Amino acid sequence: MADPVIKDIPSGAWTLVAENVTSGFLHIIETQVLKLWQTYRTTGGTAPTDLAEAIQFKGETEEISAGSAIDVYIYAEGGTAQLRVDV
Amino acid sequence: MIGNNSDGNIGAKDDLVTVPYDAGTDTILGYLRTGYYHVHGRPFVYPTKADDVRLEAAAAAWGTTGTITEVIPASTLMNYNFDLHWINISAIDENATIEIDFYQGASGSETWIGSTRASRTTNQARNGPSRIQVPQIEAGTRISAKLSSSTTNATTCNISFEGHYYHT
Repeated sequence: MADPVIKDIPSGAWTLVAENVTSGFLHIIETQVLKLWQTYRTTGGTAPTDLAEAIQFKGETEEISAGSAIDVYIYAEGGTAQLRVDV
Repeated sequence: MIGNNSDGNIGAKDDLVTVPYDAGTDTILGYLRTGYYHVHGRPFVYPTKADDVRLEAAAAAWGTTGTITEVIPASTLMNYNFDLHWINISAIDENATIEIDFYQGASGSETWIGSTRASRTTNQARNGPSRIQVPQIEAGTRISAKLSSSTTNATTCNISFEGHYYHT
């Protein structure tokens, strides 16, 4: 596993936070948002454009666990956020 | 959780803990299923329908050069991975405190997996089963043992093992 990386999440857009991963954790460091959404794509796939399949962040940490490599996207609704990405 | 891993850390119904143990690689269901078999797995005794195995210590107080004696030959307990839970100790031939070391592996390449102690005094022989603790053992592994004694004599005793498979 690589060293943790701090990712800034702008408001109102999907941000790629982890690429080509099968496991890891996302920790909320700070947030001004009302809601933080997550989704994923098979690695190398087209980035999401809406919240159709988005799932809201549960708690302060989300685990990444996939049978094959994925790219992880985060959407901050109503403000910005900062995550620590452990992959 | 983010991702499409239907197993993840939870695992599948037929998971078992990896043998030899590799920390951090097993699933929750693997630990649970292994725990079930740890309590209710198919039992065995060895030797079975045969005499106990005789161990002889080195003629030195707490000598470590006693013979490592084969108890369970290779390719004998073949069905499934197994565990040893009890050692039956008998016929300690003199008053002494003894320590028995257990090993796994081929002759000349044995690796230590556990130990137990017992004693015989003027009043008590301490024959009978003693609980032992060893790692899970791969099917077909050769098991051997070595005796060490508190006396300067070549103390002897007889042993057999009781254990179980990680299966029904």
